[in-house]
Amino acid sequence: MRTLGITIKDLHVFFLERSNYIWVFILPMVFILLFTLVSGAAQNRPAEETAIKLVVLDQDGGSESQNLINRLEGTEGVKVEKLDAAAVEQLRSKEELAYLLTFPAGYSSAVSSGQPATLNLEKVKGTDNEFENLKLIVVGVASDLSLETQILESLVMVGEMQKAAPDVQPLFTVEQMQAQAKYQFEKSHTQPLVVISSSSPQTILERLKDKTKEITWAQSVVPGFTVLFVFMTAAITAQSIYEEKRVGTFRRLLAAPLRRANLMVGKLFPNFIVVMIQVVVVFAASILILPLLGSGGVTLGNDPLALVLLCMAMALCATALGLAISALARTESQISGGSQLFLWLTGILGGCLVPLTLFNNPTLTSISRFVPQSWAIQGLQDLMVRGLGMQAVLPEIAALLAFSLVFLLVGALRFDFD
Amino acid sequence: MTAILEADKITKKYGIVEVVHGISFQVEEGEVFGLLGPNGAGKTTSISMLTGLFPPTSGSAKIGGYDIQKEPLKAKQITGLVPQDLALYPTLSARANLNFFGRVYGLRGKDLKERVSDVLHIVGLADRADETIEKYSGGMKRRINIAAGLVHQPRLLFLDEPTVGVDPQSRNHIFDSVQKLNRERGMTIIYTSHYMEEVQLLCNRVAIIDMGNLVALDTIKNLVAMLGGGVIQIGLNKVDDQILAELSALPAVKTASLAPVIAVAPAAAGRDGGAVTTSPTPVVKIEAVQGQRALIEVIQYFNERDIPVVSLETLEPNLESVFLHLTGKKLRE
Repeated sequence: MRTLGITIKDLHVFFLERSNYIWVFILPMVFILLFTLVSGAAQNRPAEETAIKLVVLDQDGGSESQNLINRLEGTEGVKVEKLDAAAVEQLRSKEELAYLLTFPAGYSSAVSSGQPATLNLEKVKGTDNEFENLKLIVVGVASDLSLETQILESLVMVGEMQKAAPDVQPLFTVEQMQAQAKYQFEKSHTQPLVVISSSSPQTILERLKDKTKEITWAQSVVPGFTVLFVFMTAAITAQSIYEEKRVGTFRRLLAAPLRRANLMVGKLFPNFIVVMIQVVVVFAASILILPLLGSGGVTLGNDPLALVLLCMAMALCATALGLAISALARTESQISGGSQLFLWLTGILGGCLVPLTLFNNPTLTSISRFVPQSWAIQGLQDLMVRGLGMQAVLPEIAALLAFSLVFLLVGALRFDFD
Repeated sequence: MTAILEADKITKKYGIVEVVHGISFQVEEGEVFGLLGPNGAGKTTSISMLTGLFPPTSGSAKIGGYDIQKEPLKAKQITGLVPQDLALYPTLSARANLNFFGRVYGLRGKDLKERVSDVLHIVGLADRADETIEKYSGGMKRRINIAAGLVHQPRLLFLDEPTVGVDPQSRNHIFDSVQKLNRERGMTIIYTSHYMEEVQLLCNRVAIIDMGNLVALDTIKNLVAMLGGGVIQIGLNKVDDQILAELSALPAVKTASLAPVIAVAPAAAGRDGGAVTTSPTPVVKIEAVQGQRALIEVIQYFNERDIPVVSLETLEPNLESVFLHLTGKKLRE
């Protein structure tokens, strides 16, 4: 009960201080709204600016390959550049080749004779996100062409049958023609004429299969800034402990009949509660406000329990980090300025402002694993954007708990009660 | 009378620097006990050890029979601390502060409400209890600072320099409160100060601390009696043993000796320290049996021998002169 008394008092003090509302609730929402608008504007750029550049190597040179290339050129979102093998190799050697679509020799004759043919779509240097989009476009265009070819082929076949035996074969009924078209439509899915095989660098394939779905910058704004400002509360915890020491109330509490562990739990628990309130407020505000700005909106995913547990792990980690900062920082400037700088830098490194996948830098991605923010963001993205469940975020929860343990140990060993 | 506090050779070291050197004393239940010493003497460090803020490096202490290291929670439950700093939450009201500190000591419900109301009356701020601390004057803050240490009705109250930066009206109110708490409620009070007048007014017994050492411990009456008829300090160009012997032999003089002069040498002495050196202009310290007569005899002695007197200072027998006599320096140095 005495520990709870300290917690209630600290929450009372916290909510009386107006600047805390700015840091904990207002700034996250300002950043979320601002970055949502910016990322939305980026998405709304003219098509020619955002079109994905696709280099095409036509080793076939036939009419069917040209037909598909023409279709791709007419598709919004793709800018096709047809090059010969030497030019492709030159681009590759200069590391200027992002995506390459190769038509193998014999492609046209295979398609013309109704035999399946395979195209190769290769990601050399581009982003995962663009590659996924490109794959969808190429598969879509190829499917349309397959369907068209197969239906036309069947109609030709029907016509030839009619022509060969006009007396034997009566005119085809509407029902027979519909059945034939339906058969060809289904066949185009199960046995497509054109198959797209794709390849991309090993670093991306190494990831877990269910976490490979890339997300856009806009989708990462809410998880990113939520995590950034959740961890910013560590500075508020450290400041609260420093103030308590500076004013002298900490001495008074040390003179009271309280165990030191109870005193520290009483001092840290308010931050945990504040973070949980912060997460609820930021998520609720994002869900309500972002759709009004024309954004796709925010969902809490499909596993509420996993989301709650992940948020609790985040809150614990941020609180423990606050203790570690208060134990390591000795002066007010170290706590107010130094810790803010540290939290911003680790937040950026963790991918709070811009998703690390957009940098596509394996070194940066590896380093980011050493800051808790990257794990928290990964977890939130898995649950809120990718729609995954508890199983998928167990590593993130475990990592956050491990970070919490380290911070608590540092805090406990280095805390200056004198 | 029984001892509510027994300190036995308590020592505090920071690294290699020892700031409290094994002090021992007892405080009887129901007395107002003074800890007198200049700033940096080790008073607050001693109190911090006794109230369990940090453990002594060596030595032990008992409060109400409970060892402060073996049974700290029981010892702390009967102890109240009014720290030198204004240890309050400025954005909370006085009542919210007192409620909080009451809860920390286990008070709840009606008991808590009554105790808070009681201490607000003791410090005379019941009518302004719901204002935030940051709106209070310095003196009012001091009074609430005291109230926060009283709210759980401790048997032993440590008041650490409670009147620093306080206006005369609040100072008088604090004195009244201390006297009432002791007289009417039998509370034992340990009062630390570097103001000699406060200790002389409030305390029965006094421990004088200097540079981490307990240099004297007695009733004020006995301490002052050490000086007999007072002290005369005379500055001379040159002093020898013959002069000191002849002065000591004068009828109204008890002793005459060369006074040490304090020169602070922080690098050598560390956190609380100072070092004793000899002044280039010697000062003879004369303890008188009877002050007025001794002064006449001493002046007559120097006139007869044509010895020039560089300076002359007479000290009335009080705690200030006791401190000067014992340590060679003034309380507020």
